[in-house]
Amino acid sequence: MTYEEFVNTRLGALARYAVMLTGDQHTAQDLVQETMVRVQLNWRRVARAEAPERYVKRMMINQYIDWRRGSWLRRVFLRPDADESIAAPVDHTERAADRDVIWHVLATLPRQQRAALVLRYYEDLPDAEIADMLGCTVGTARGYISKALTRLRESADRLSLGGIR
Amino acid sequence: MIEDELRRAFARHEVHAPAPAPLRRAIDMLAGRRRRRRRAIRVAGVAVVAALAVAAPPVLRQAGLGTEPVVPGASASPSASASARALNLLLINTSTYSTDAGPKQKANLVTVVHVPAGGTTGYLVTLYPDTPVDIPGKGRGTLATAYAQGGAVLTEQAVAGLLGPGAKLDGVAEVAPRALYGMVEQLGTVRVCVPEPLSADYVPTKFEGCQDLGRGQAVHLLTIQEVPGGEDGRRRILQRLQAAVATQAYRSGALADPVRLGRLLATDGLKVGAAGFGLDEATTRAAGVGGGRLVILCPPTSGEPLPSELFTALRQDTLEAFAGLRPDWVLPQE
Repeated sequence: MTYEEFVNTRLGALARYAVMLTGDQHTAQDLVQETMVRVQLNWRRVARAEAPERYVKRMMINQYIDWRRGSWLRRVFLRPDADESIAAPVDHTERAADRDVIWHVLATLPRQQRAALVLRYYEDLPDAEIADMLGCTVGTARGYISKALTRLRESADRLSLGGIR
Repeated sequence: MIEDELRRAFARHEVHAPAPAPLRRAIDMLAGRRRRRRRAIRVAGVAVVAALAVAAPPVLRQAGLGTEPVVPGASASPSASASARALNLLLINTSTYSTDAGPKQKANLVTVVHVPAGGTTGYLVTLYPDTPVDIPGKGRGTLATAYAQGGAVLTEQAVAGLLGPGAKLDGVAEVAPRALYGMVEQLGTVRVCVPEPLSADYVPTKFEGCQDLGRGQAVHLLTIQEVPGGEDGRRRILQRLQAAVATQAYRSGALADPVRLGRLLATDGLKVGAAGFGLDEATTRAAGVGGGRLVILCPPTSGEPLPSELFTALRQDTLEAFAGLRPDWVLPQE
């Protein structure tokens, strides 16, 4: 697979994955951009990986967890139209406040915990693969998920979203 | 279930993903910049290191007496305008000598570092200090005279005059003796080959064939006065050492490492940028000598006017053809 083929077919998915990790469009943009620049500059090494997309996602997670604002964050601003905020689609079956609470609480989690949740509930990966992606033991990965869920439940209770367990 | 709500939250926020098309453009633009910068750093480093090395003094009697301030290397940001043309950088080796009026500096060797446009080979063109030149405002003289009378600025003008009407050099650097040795020390060892055995009873090191030299041995090598070919022979030894430094700087990864490169450029005794040495320009030519391949050209004899073909080749970026036609100018390095 060439870099062109990879980016043509996977950039959209990687951008969505970055939103799940970072929680907002602009930071996701930075994360994808920085990761993909590295991918482009080191494509031969990436292409040699058994599963290039997984390799890139792992790069992205590492980048996200190690993120210190100002170090890797050298944004190239996109065109203004791309920077416009995109509102989440209206979902009349749920209260807007409920939706915001979950997303807000996710933003307060330690990065490893949030990444673990993304890998489990967005990527649907088993524990062993989550551990591999995070570079930790299976037990540690489970711990991240367990602690994150506990935090989410507590926050949901505190914010009167008792229906969510 | 919180898990279900999480899945729904993730799904809802997929629409926040940045649009792929502008993201792709931004990635390509940033990657291009980084690629150019990476190449640029390597090129500039090779050019500067090579130039430094070739400009080191053949005589060490005045070693360590240099007093010029160190000017760390300029930023290595790329300049797109320079990427499409060849660069000619001037390196002036200096050393300090004592006079009744105090210490003074002189030019021991002058080198034009030629970085071809898009080429894969860098050239170090040695101009001996007794090369006859027209010195602007001073009349006929030599490069050594030009430096004595007007420092790097006048030397640059004199060499530019050799290149032809309206020609200008892309940068100038001055190198004190200690700079070369400092770079060898930073690099650990450099592999130098000598064409004939060299030794002297006043240095503890004997040289034969190819050897890995540390700082002290590099000093010993250039300290030896009795070299076949006399002054010219010593300068050729110096050129071998400079090529070794440049090669080691590249092979060790120092040129690709901004921190190590920064240290090299900040080596005590190196004065970069005094006359407008444009790393910004030099950096963009990094790929040209990215493989660390450097050809050393030296006139077979010194003190004589240099052929106009040489300067035509420098000006027109046809040095490869010149070297092909004048194999006696090419210094074998192995």
